[in-house]
Amino acid sequence: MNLIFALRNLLRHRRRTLAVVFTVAFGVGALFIFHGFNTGVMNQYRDNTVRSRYGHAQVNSIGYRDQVFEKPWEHWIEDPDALVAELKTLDGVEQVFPRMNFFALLTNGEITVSGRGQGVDGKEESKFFNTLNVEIGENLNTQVEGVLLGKGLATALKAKIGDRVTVMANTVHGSINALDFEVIGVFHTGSKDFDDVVFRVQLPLAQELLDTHAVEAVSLAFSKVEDWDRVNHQFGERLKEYEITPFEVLDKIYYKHSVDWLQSQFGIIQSIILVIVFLGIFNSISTSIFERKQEIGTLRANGEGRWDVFKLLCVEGGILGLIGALVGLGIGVLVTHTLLGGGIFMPPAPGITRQFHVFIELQASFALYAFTLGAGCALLSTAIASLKVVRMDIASALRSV
Amino acid sequence: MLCLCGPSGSGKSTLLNLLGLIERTQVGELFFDGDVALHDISEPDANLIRRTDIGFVFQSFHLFEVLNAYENVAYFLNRLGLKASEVKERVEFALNAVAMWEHRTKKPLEMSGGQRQRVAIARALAKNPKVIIADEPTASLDQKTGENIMKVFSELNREHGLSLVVSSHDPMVLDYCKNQVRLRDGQVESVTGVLA
Repeated sequence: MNLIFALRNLLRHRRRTLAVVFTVAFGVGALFIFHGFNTGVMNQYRDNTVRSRYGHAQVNSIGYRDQVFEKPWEHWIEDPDALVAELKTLDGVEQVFPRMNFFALLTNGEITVSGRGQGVDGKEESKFFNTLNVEIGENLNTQVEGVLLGKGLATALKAKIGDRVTVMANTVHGSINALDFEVIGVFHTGSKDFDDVVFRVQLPLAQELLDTHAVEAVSLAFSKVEDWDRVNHQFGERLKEYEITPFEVLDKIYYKHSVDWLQSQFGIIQSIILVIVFLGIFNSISTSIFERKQEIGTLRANGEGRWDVFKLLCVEGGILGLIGALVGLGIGVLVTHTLLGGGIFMPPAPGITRQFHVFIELQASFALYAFTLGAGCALLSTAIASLKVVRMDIASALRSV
Repeated sequence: MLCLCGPSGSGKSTLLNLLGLIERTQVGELFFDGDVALHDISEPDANLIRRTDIGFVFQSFHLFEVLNAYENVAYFLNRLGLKASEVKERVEFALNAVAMWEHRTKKPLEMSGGQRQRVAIARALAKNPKVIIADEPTASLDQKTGENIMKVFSELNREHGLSLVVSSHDPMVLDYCKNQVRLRDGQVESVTGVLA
C-alpha cells in the first residue's frame, strides 16, 4: 500500500514529479557525459604519446635511463635480435620495435640545422605509430633512403617532398660519417619540442651512419594498454639484464603531468556539477514535501509515527531518484550518439600545438557510479527535507495551507 | 455525543487536540478510557492510541486525493496489519454506514463536500475506535449537507453506540447534542446534559 500510495502521489503532481526527475536526470546525464569527455581527452593524450612516440613501454639496458653517459652507445643493446626474439614471446606483447636516437646535422647544401634522429623499423612502426600525423607526403615504411621530418625541422630546412638531405653524425668511434636521404614526408605530432628537432630514418641506415650493430632501446606495443602489469611481471622473471619502463614514465612531462593536471581540473568541475545537482534536487524535493504538510499531518494524526512518515517520503524520493538516474543515463547515451556523435573539435590542449577531435567515451563503470550518485542525492535530499517536516507538531502540520 | 461549543478562540479546537493527542498537555491531567494518563504518555504509545482508539474527522476532510473512497478508508486499516478480508469487511461496513458504498471508486476531487466528509467519517469509523473526534465537521458544508452529516453522527451514536466529541458553534449542530460543554476564553462556562 505504501508503494502504491507513493507512486500515486508522484503521478498526482506530474509537473512537480517531472521537474524532480529531470533535475536528477540532468545531473546524472551531465556527469556521465562529462566523465566520457574526460576519458576521451585522456585517451587522446595517451594515444598521442603511445602511438606517436614511445609505444606502450620501452626496454633499455639496466641503468641506461637513470644517468647521462659520456659515450651512451657503450650502454646500448649489443644483441638486439636475441632480445627482440625473446620479447616477442612475452604474453601481451604484439609488436617489437628496435630503435636508436642520435644527434646529427642535416643539410640541404644551403641550410644546415641540428636535429635528433630516430633509427626505426619503418615497415613495422608504420603499422602501429599512426598518430605521428603525417601532414605532407607519406609515413616511413619500406623506403630505404627515406627520411621523415618533423614539421619544425622541415620548415627550417625549407624541405619539400623529394628533396635530398645529407645527415652527418659522429660514429660510435668518434669519426664523422654522412649519408644522403630523400625527404618522403613531414609529420606534426603537435608536440613542438618533438616536431622541431626529430627526423626518422630506417634503422639499418642509422646503424651504418653510427657504425654500430647495437640499438639504444626496444619499444613495445601491447595488445591493450592494460597489459602492462602482465608484461612487466613476465619481463621481470625472464629478462633480468634489461629494464622496462612504461610510457607514462617515459613521457612524464608531457603525458603524466598534463593528465594529472587535467584530472585535478576535471575533479574540481565535477565537484561543482555535483553541488549544483544536489542543490537543484534538494530545492525541487523540499518544495514538493513542504507542499504536503497537511497530508503529513493527517498521517500523523491517524497514528503514523514520525519514522513511518519519513520512510514513506523516502520511498517517494527513492523512486524519483531511480527513475531520474535511469533517464539521465539514457540521455547521456542518446546525446553522445546523436548530438555529439561526431566528436567535439578542441583547441590545442596543454603541451600540444594542433587541434584535435575528442569523442565522448562513456564508461560502463562510471554509469553505475553516476546512477548511484543521482539516486543517492535524491534520497539524501528527501531525507533532509523530510526530517524537517516530520519534526513539526501535528496541529501545525494540519493547519498548514 | 458530546459537543464542545463556544465562540471562535474559546479553546474548542485546542481541547479537542489535547483529547486526541494531537497536542500535548503542558499542565493538568488528562485520562482516556478511564485510567490511561494522556498527560504522561510516550510518543509511541500516543501514536498507538491515535491509530487504534481514536478516529478523527476534520473540518477540511483531509482525504488523500490520490486514493479513491475505498482506498482512503482502507489505508489506515492496512497499516494496522489486518487481514485483507477483515479490511474489506470493515470498509464495506463503514462506507455503507455513511451511504457511500455506491461511490467507493470515486476520488475525493470527484465528490461533493458532503460526500467527502462522509468518507472521512467512514475512515474514522472503520478503525472501530473508542471515540471519534470531529473538529467543526460541518463548517465547510452548506446547512443541508451539514445537517445530513449530523444525522449520520446521531445514527452512529444511537445504533452503534459510538462515542463522539464534536466541536462547533453552529446552532444546528447543538440541536443534535444533548451533552454540551460551553467554553469561553479557555475556561468552561457551562455544562449541560449528563455531565452537568
